[in-house]
Amino acid sequence: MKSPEYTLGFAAGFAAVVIVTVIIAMIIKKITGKKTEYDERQIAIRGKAYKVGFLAYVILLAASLLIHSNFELAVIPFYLEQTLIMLIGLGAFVCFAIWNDAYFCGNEKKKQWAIFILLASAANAAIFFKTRENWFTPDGIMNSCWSNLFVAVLTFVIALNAFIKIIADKQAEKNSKED
Amino acid sequence: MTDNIFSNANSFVLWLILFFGLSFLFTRHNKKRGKTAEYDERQQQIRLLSLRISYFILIAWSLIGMLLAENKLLFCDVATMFFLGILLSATAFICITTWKNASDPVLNGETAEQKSKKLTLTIVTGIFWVLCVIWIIADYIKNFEKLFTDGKLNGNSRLLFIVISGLIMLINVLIKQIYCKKFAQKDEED
Repeated sequence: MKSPEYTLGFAAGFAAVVIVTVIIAMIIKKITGKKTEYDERQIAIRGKAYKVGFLAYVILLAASLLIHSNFELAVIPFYLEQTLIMLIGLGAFVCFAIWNDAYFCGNEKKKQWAIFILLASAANAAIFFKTRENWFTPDGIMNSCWSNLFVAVLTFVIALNAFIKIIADKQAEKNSKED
Repeated sequence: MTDNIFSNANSFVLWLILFFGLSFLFTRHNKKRGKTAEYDERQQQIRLLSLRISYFILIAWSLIGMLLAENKLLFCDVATMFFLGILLSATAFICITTWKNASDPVLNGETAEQKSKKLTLTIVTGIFWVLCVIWIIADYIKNFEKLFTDGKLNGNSRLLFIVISGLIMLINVLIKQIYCKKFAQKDEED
């Protein structure tokens, strides 16, 4: 059992994360003008996207179950592994929704949103590379700073998907105008 | 019985792949014969909503697992923890869809005779399953110490959790039936 100081620190950290998340969400809403008003088709596709995310999550959990039963995973701690699996599930959901036009509402500024996400990715990558002396504990186990790298990769992939989708949409619009 | 196919993760995952693979092939076979399992719009919406709830349950379970592991309070091995997460979300999905009448699809091309056969098969399977459950639980009570390694639940406990999950689903169906009958009775009285 951890000390009361640790528990207090954990609770304070958790509260701080919640507050920061709410503030960031409010800023994103103001910048991108996002209002969660999806049409019926989008709601149905978002349901399918949840299915994709859920399946990705379950498949990875099953794979993890196999690995844990056959090998001694000494490098990656349990919480980091769980975080990685969760983020991949989330990534699958977001990418599926983006490619099926069910992530953004009609009034949303997609480009600004993608740039914002790219900035978040850069910030996380910067934090990870700044703490390179602490990447591993003295026992050779991955440290918590790896979660920053995971988030950086995830946000980068999401932003990349969003940009490619924006370009593809513009191209399709151009083609249809020419036709 | 305490040491079963679910105790070993390899055989469990193999069983999982076999189960999903067979159900996929079965659905494809039915589709080819024009018997496609089709849910109506309301059912589809409820199924997607239940899936969303199951997804959130899985995430919540993972977070709880992370917290417990960090504080060295994990009550089972890591593989069983993952297994429990999957089982919990699957149970939630089935219970919600059953309660909201979204688990049984409208099967196109099914005759009344086939439907009656299906019902008989379901009842027989149900009775067989209940007998199996009694046998499994009795065996677990007899070999209770085999469930733990260093004070933590080990892989042997997985079948017990499957049985408990099945019981929850069964109780859910029973409560639903009773509720529906009472509701219908009240409607008739009114």
